Amino acid sequence: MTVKLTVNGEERQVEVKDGTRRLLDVIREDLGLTGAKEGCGEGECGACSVLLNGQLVNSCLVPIAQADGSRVLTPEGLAQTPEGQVLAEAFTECHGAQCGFCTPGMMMASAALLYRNSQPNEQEIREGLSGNICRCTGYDMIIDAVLMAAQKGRGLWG
Amino acid sequence: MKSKNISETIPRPDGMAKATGRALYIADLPQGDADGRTQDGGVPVGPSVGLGTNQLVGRFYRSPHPRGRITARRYPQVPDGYTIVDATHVPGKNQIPMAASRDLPCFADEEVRYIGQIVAIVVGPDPQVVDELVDGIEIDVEARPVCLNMEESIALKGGAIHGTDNVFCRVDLDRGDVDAAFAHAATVAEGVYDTGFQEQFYMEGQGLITWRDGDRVGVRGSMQCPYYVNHAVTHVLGLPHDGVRVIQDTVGGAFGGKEDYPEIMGAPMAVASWVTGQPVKMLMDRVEDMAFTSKRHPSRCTYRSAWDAQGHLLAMDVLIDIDGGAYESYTKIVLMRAVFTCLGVYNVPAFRIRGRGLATNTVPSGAFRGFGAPQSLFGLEMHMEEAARTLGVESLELKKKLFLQKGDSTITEGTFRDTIILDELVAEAERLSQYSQKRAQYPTGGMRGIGMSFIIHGCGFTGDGEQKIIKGEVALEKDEAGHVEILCAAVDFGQGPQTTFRKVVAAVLGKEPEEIGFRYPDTDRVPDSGPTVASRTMMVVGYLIQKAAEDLRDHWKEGEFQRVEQKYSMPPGMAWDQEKLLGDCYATYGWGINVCEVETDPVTWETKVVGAWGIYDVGKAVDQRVVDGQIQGGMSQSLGYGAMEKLEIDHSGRFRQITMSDYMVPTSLDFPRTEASTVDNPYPYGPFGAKGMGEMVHDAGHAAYAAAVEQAVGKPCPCIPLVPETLLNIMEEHR
Ligand code: FES
Ligand code: FES
Repeated sequence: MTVKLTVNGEERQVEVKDGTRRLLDVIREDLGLTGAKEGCGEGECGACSVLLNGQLVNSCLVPIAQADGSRVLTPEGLAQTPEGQVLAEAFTECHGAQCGFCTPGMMMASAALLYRNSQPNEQEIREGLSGNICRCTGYDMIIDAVLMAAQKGRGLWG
Repeated sequence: MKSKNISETIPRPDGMAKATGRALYIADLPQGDADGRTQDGGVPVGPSVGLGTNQLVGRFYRSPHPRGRITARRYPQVPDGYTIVDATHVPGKNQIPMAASRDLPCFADEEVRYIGQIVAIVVGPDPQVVDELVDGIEIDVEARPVCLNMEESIALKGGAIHGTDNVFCRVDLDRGDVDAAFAHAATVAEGVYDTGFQEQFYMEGQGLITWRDGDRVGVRGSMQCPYYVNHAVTHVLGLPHDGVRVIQDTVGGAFGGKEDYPEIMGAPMAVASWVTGQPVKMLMDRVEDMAFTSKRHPSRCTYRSAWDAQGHLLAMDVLIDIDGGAYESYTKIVLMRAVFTCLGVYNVPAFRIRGRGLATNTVPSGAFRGFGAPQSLFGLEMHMEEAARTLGVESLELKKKLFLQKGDSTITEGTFRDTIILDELVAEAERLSQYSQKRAQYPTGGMRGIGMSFIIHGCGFTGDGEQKIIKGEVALEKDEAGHVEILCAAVDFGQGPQTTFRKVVAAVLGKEPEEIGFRYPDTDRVPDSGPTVASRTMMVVGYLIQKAAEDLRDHWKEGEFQRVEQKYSMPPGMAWDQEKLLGDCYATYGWGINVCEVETDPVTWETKVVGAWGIYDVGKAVDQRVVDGQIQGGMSQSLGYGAMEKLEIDHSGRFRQITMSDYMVPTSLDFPRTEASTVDNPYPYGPFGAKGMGEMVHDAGHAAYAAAVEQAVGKPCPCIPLVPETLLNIMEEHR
């Protein structure tokens, strides 16, 4: 079947044999966008997070047929936006990324949170990121980064 | 550098690439592109380094049997383009060489000792066909009873797995007349303390690509120790050292879990590339990774202590057993660290310590941040709580009287040569956490508690290992335009050398850190500065880099290419006898305190951590946020170890928890912020005074947690993880 997606603002068409193929595999393998990572493949870690029609999803759980006609924002696409830039700089400055494997997913979850709530407190950030596992940082510096991005990106998050 | 203070933090040089998804991990590398490009870490990308379109997929056939002699193998019909590779294909030695052992075979040949042991690798172009071929393989074994744990190991269930007694290794230490001390003691305290398996849970699973290039072989991917991989592959393929090229790609976490496994996985893959002439790629999914890669050694520590009528410590009698799994691999050196750390920060006048590494039919245990110290420090610190209860005194008061001081003997009769600032660390811990005030205020058994644990961690390899075994070397190169590049084999798997090493060189040369080049290691380009383990990277390798930078600064020639090299030599005065285990077992030590405050629910027996503090002497923090990030991340892992990370085995020695939904690691909601603090105490042979610190942050958070729970519930809690069922059992036992 042919699947139509708007990925990072660009219209893309992908031929898939099987509509149950995971959105994660399509964006990584067919579209060559490897920012989203596979950490578990079972919806538990959030490393594969993308925004699907503005909603934070684990792309390892989304069958491609279900995404037909949708808008997808991947970590690469987020990085192109002013909000993404502010967030990436905050992660870099606050040391919110250590090994970095969870970081693209954390960026997506942080953006989803800030779009919803542009001035979250620490507890709200903890809740917003609770679907994303980080084994390196203990989360504290990720929270610092989100607080910094909220501060520095005032007005950007709508 | 703009700032005079090396601790002042800078943005991470690798941060933007990681945050924007640009950093390429092994699973992200493009295939078939033209050569000559490099990825963000500066390593080459292209067909000549394993990324051609002729890449094959590899999968292991792993033993479905836990134990027995192999009597038959049956392989399916293999279509064109597919190959099954096993022990018969190994051109060199069929064993994985590790720092202190070579007993693990590359491919199981005569016997299997655990479920999941690698028997063969199947390679070919289509992953589905490869899977089907793997499913078509069978082996028969003459089965023997499975030995599941240390008790069964000691009882020699099914006969010995290793040698005649199942003991891989022993480490024994003695000082003074322990029997006499116990005979004269007014009070004797005693306890048995257990810790379980722990999964490293790096977020990026194991993954490598191997390839053949004429008479040479290449390996690239996720690893901690490029030269360990180089040694293992040369050994198995029978090649000279320059016959193997190893390249590190961006590493998504390691924690010790990528110290041995890239050799265990990479050597059989390299044989497959050697046989087929083609690149082979293998990425482990989470289930395979959790089921078959090495974990932290489970332990049982038995402590007895003798005290006189005035409450002075006379002696300690300690037994430390660790479960090494089916092959020795790193068990001896893990045991050495467990034993050398087992008296903690205390001066013990007489002791008898008996340590054993035992064989069982489970996945070989391996390296994990702390490397034996988290096990014995749990035993010790929980025993100090026990002793304080027996003596009727406050545990912190008891501990303070025993604090080590400069000039005291180490556990191996060496000398603590550097200033010890435990009192200052205690003052800082009190200031931040109000430990003593809270400890006095919370009634025992009142469901709220606070605990404190103490840490000592020897930095670098044990004894003269740095000098005799590792012999680390680094180099700096300057081009005609004055650009300086660091050449060493240290891997950044998140712990920060990409940041800190650049800062060290920049500070010496008066440059900015971002001007200093530091690519991910490629053994064709960098000297062997040793493995990225043992809290040695900053202190040992970083110091060589500082010395090299000083050399370059002092001999700087404008407009010329220059190369300077540095080799490790032992700090003056250090002496070690490896036969007798006597002398300075470490060059120096990191010190620390963990405090944890909890609330326990008397209905569900769930425990909530309400405060966590980590206070350390790291010498000097080369970057405060790098150090604080280690403190916070280590605290999260050690609290996970103490509170929730339960990993059990079934009746055949398989792990029960092999998915993320079964094995619980901390989320952002599980623990509060860790308040991190350091007190400066510069070490003369570390860069700008820095000592090792990456491991000690995981050494005792679990002990502080368990001590806090003991106060909350009013019962001894001598085993971790203290999940609600365990706590409920403890409460019922003591009813
Ligand atoms: S990979 Fe999708 S949630 Fe873990
Ligand atoms: S930075 Fe390594 S998992 Fe989050």
